Amino acid sequence: MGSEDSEQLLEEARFKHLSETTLISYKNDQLDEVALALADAHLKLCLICERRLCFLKKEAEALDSYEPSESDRVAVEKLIRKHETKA
Amino acid sequence: MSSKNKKKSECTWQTDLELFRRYKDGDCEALRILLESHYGLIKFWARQLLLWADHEEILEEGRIGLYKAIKSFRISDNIDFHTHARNFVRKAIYNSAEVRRVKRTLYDNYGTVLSAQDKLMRDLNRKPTIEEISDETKLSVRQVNNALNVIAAFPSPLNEANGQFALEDPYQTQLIRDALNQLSSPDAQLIVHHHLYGYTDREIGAALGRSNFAIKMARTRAEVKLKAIISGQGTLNDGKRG
Repeated sequence: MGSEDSEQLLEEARFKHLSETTLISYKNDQLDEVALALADAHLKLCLICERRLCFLKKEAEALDSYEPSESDRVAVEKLIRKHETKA
Repeated sequence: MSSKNKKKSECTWQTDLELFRRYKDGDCEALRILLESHYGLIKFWARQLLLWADHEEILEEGRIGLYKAIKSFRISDNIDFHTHARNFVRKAIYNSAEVRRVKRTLYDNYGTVLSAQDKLMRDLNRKPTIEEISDETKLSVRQVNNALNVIAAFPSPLNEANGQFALEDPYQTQLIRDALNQLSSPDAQLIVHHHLYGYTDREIGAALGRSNFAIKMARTRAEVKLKAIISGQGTLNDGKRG
């Protein structure tokens, strides 16, 4: 790699969409300093990854407060009967 | 540079593995608990499509997706079950007949909005607004907003079909990490704050109580070192950090 490429490397990295693994690690505060800086730099630029992160945060909130309802339990029982008896 | 490791769901991850092992050993109660404890995933992701799809049909597809996730999960794949289940549920919902009906329009808008967003992000060097994407694509603000939500909620299946989603390259990230780790901490901080966080020399100087000129000089020296490291000519005499 030529020496003139180092700033371009940093510049380009900012424009790449974040993987789901990175977004989940970002949400869970598990990125190291460089990965966090790259993620922050991209999230400052990208509407899509910002929304993806928002969905993952909302999912975590929804699951934290989730209690299976009676109809959820019935649906799970039906699913087990349907598939496990086939197997 | 240290990892913070504040994993919130460690217990759940371990509980899932334990339940999965019990299910593999023939414990049907473990299967019921696994399905029930992840049923909220189906409800959450199905809700994202409520505007234009029949809820019950989508829930049914989601249930099948969750069941398939359990059937296909392998501990040796080194992925947590929750992530695996999320991928299967979203894919099942996305591939449901309800969603298929609007897929042609979705694909067209998806490609157009994604390209426009990526182009504007580069051209403007900032986050584009929905109105700017609407101008660029000639789609209404509502269409852009819907497309953005679908892209954000279902990136994997859309990308499998379209392939336009340019994801980060883990090797590139590692290259940057390795190079920055060979700089001294102040040099690495200057590079990160200027090139990644986008702070000006003046802003960095103000935060550190140093002049704009001093920061510019220090940053230029750090950039020369970084270039040398990346081009393979760098030495490690700058104080290698762990």
